Amino acid sequence: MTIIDWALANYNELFVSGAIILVSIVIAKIASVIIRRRMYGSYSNHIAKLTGRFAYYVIVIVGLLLAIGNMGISLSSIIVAGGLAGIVLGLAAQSSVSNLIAGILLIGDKPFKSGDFITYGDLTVGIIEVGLLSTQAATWEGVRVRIPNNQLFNSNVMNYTRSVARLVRTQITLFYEEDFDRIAKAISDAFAKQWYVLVEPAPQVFAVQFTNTGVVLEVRVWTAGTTWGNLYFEMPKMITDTLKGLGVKFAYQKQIYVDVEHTGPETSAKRK
Amino acid sequence: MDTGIFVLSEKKYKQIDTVENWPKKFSLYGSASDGMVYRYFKTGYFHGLPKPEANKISTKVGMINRHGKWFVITKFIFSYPSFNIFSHKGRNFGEAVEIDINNEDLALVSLKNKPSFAGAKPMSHIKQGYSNTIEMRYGT
Repeated sequence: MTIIDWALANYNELFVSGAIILVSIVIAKIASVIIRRRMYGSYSNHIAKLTGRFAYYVIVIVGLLLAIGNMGISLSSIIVAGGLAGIVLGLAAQSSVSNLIAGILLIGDKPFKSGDFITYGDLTVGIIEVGLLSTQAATWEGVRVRIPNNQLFNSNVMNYTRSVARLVRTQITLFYEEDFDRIAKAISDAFAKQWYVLVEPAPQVFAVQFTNTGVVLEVRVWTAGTTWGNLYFEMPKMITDTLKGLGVKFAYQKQIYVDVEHTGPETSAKRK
Repeated sequence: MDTGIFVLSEKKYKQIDTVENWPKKFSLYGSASDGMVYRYFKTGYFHGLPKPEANKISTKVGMINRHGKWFVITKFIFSYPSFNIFSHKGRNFGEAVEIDINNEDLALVSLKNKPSFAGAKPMSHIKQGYSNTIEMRYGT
């Protein structure tokens, strides 16, 4: 019996099975939308999207199994065949499975979320989306990066956005002749005026090192985790402007070249 | 007090923007990793009702000292988004705040869901909020 003969003989069951699959896809679609809408607001968009997608596939798979059962095909034989196929696929897709498990753990553990800036290895990126198999991110230069979840899960990840407050510090070197108390106060006051600089802990400026060039001062300023960028990029300009306002110059290495004329005893050749 | 910009539609106010009347400043309470960054205001203190000033509201802060020792209070933190504003004869009042000094180490700061000035009515277009109590520790 050919497939066409079999289909003609069982057209009634085929029609019902097709209808079951279609209905299950429609129900899955509706359920997925309802779940996502209900979850938005209470949960992150990402978790809502993943749960909706999961519900979709579960309903479609149940529909497929019902359709197969309706055709009179034994489910146990499918399960045996599926088990064998599963072993083959499992061996072939080991890394995908580890990425999938890592993805589920990352979504549950939430070491970072969309919009966070993280450093992973030598790479500093902004997270776009944490997927089940990989995480989409973008570098400072706007280059899109796809990072397998397994690598992220097994690496040290530094999250710059998650901290409530962050310290930004830099060092400047000034000549020994300068009035350091006056300079420290002026720099602290300049930072304290900025809205993104925290009142407490207050900005600090203090000497940390004495070098051949001058005194090294460290400037320490705290900001909220979300305004780190404002402070980080403004800091050099603010210090430079404050020093200019005070008429203070940064210390620099002075090198003096002395051109000494030869004044020693005449050579024997000249004496002759 | 900041000024909210509202759109009135079908007797419902929808806030679309905020005009900040005071310099925005923030401060850290607790540690950098798990503390909180809060909006910072420096205020005077009065034993009676102070003279009204534009864009300022008066709030009554009650203190209960259950410990018996003397304490110096330099700051207190409360939940700003759920801080209700009331009005009486064209003058605005904040929600009453209570600082309950439980023991040497712990003070609980809570909003009392009632006006600082008896008889003041809640502003109808501002959603009334209910806040949790904030725990403050000694020396912080």
